[in-house]
Amino acid sequence: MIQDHLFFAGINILLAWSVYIILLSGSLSFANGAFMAMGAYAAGVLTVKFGLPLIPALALAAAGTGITGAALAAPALRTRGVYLIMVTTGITFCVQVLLENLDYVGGVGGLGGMSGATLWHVYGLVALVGLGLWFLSRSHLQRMLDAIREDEQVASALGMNALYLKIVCFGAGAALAALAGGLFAHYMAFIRPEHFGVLVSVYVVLYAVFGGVNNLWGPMLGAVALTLLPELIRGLASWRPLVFGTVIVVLLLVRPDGLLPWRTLTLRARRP
Amino acid sequence: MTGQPLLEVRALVKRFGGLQALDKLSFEVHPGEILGIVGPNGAGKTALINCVTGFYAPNDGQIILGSRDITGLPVHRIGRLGIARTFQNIRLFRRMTVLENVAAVTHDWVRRPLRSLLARRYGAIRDESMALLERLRLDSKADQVAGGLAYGEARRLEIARALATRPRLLFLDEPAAGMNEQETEALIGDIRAIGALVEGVVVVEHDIDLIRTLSTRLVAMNYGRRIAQGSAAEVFADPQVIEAYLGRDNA
Repeated sequence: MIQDHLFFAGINILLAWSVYIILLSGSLSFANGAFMAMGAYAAGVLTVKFGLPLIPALALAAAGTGITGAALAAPALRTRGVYLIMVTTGITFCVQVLLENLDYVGGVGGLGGMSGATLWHVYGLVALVGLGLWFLSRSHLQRMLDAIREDEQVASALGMNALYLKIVCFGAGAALAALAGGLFAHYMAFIRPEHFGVLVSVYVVLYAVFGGVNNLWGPMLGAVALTLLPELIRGLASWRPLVFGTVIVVLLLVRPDGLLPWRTLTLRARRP
Repeated sequence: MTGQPLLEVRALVKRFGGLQALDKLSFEVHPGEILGIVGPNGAGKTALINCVTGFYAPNDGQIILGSRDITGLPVHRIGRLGIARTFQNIRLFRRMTVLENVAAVTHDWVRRPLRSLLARRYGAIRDESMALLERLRLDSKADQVAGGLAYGEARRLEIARALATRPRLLFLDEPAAGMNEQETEALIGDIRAIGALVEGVVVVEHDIDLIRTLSTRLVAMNYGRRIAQGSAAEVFADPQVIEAYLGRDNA
């Protein structure tokens, strides 16, 4: 039981970071549930039907989903704000319906037979991605992404290829969501399209925003807090969703920039 | 006024629906010039900057930088080829520090953003950015958040940030807007001082005092057309310019 909670907390950290990576360049994605589904099904098919070991299957699924994500981003990122939210939500709907109608992966009935994902896999990946994001947060690239998030037009006018960097971030976020999905599939042993509905995409964005999206620790804390909170208030029975929702609304009213709102400086003047 | 111009704008046309914002506008910027572009509100000055920097796609005409046709290139390509700009309504990266604003666009890495991940040359970028901030009297504010700067400081930071891209040509869109006399005077000194860092400066402004003192040559516009060009004395003596600014009755 405890192991389950820890596992899902780890998966949700990865998913929150997948949203965070896309948000770094200023785009908000409600398609990460779909990318998670692609990763889960692709990795599942590779291990179950082609007999690949878990790690190579995950790597292939992530690469494929990353490329698909980048390919979808190229046209999708022409839209902004509310429209981008609608387009990415649309992607989530499409992928779910597509999976429901693909007999090869079991349709609505789902795909089974996956196994082998452990806590070690999940937290190994959390450590690896966390290290990468920490490294990124102190880099020149982070500063360029910050500039694009602040004002994309100005950043472009000063020589940055904003669209390219946004596509790269979208692809990287999709790949990470796919890794989380692949691990999820091989822990659950059985997946169905309904595991990856729009609500998952919404929750994942919520984890990131709740914790704060100005640094890598925010999404991590948000994911852990919102994964464990429903368990802590289990005693409230059917009132649980209401309390859960209220906590989120109140916190975002009190701390609109999330629990951990600070931003890491990428460069400081040396003081004499 | 001989030799190849730095920038050549040939018969530029920009229409918005039925409105002709630029009507076969032509002019040149020569190396070493501070060219002033004047004209009443709605003359097409900002439309011109937006066309040259790639924000708008012109309907007709050509824009040539050096010997290269840059008409219709994407915004970031034009930026990399050496045209930098500031904005009428100051657009800083507000949540980043003053130093970061400048360092973000430092030319080394905007061209190869992904490789910058492996870069470890923090010192060089810091020194280069700090030197620019010093030039524009902002070095003491380096670690402050840009959104908290006073108005005049924000204007100067925008100029410093544009210079960080090492442009050949700098476009300033109404740099004195909202400034008092003292601030404007200091700004004139700053713009003159940075003239040495770029091959040419174009100042778009309707503050006549600023443009008269600062520019080495003037182009006057109205209704998207060039109505006069030459020295400040010549341009402001031109009957069409007087009419554009003061109306027919006063002319």
